[in-house]
Amino acid sequence: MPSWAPLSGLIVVVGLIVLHLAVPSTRSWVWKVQSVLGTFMLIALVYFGLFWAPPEAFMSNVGRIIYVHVPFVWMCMLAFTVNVGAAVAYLLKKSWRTDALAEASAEVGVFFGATGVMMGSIWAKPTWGVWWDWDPRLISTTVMLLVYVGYLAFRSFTEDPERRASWSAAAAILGYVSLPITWFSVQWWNSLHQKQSGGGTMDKPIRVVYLWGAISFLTFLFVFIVKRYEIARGRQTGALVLPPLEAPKAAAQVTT
Amino acid sequence: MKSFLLVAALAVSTVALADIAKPPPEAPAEAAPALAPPANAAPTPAPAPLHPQGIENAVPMGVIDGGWGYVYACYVLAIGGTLLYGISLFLRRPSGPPPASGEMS
Repeated sequence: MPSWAPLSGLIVVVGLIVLHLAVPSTRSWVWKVQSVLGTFMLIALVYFGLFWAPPEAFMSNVGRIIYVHVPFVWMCMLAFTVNVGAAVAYLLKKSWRTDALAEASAEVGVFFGATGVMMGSIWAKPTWGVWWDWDPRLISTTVMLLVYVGYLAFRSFTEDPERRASWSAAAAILGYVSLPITWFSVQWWNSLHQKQSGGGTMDKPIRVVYLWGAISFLTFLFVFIVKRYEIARGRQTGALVLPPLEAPKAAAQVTT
Repeated sequence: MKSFLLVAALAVSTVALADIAKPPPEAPAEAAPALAPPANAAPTPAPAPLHPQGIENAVPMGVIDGGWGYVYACYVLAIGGTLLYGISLFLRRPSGPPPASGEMS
């Protein structure tokens, strides 16, 4: 896989998010176009991944899992990168928009990460012989996911909006340390999990389907983040609306 | 009595010396005459180096056979998860209008 692919994916999704937030006229149609595009690409990915791509040299047809497993974990890491970017932006200039974007990207990242780990566990059974192994990559990924689950739990437990936004921004920056540890774990330690594949280690059909899968889920990453962002913004707006006052109850009569 | 002890000491020392005594030299075996390889014979391949722990005998080498069930499970999980999360976002969508520009910025 070319080394520029994750960075270019990040640039694309951040560019689309900024477009969605900064240009109101695009909010009603860009996500719809992305949804339709992503749906067609996902349907095509099923054909390409299951039937068109050649079997892997050693894993044979089991290797076809790579076309969905790796893009999911990539989208997880991209979402967490958007999260830390929004957190830093909030600390530099307090804004409810960046706070909502941080909340949205964290939840979407946990979705992609948890699903990616489940697919990795399924893949491990026919290749490693076990569903799970306490391997450096698997441990670091689990810790990273637990950090962000804790981040979301912290946000839901804290009622004061300003305190929630400030503290969770700091927690997001601290939690992001787990991402490079996860990424480089296969290079730093002896791991059962394979190292990152380079462009020269894949045949062209496999590389093309690999990139196709990544772009397919990149569209859904954008759609999920902006729709989750709208939910977070709606909750922020609703939090400022005071609940209606209850009608005063009749004074209790005191009898002796 | 003294003669008995002397005989016993001699016997023990003989046995002890017999243990450390050099064996008699053996006659060298006659080397078998080497067969000359035929002129057009292929060179004998060198044996593959063996792992000191003998992993070659314990780990099967080859290509995974089958496993389509795992592949289908992963694709169903990917598509189903994406669909379900999309539905959850739709169900949680804000009911009111989006916040106006400048509001709660």
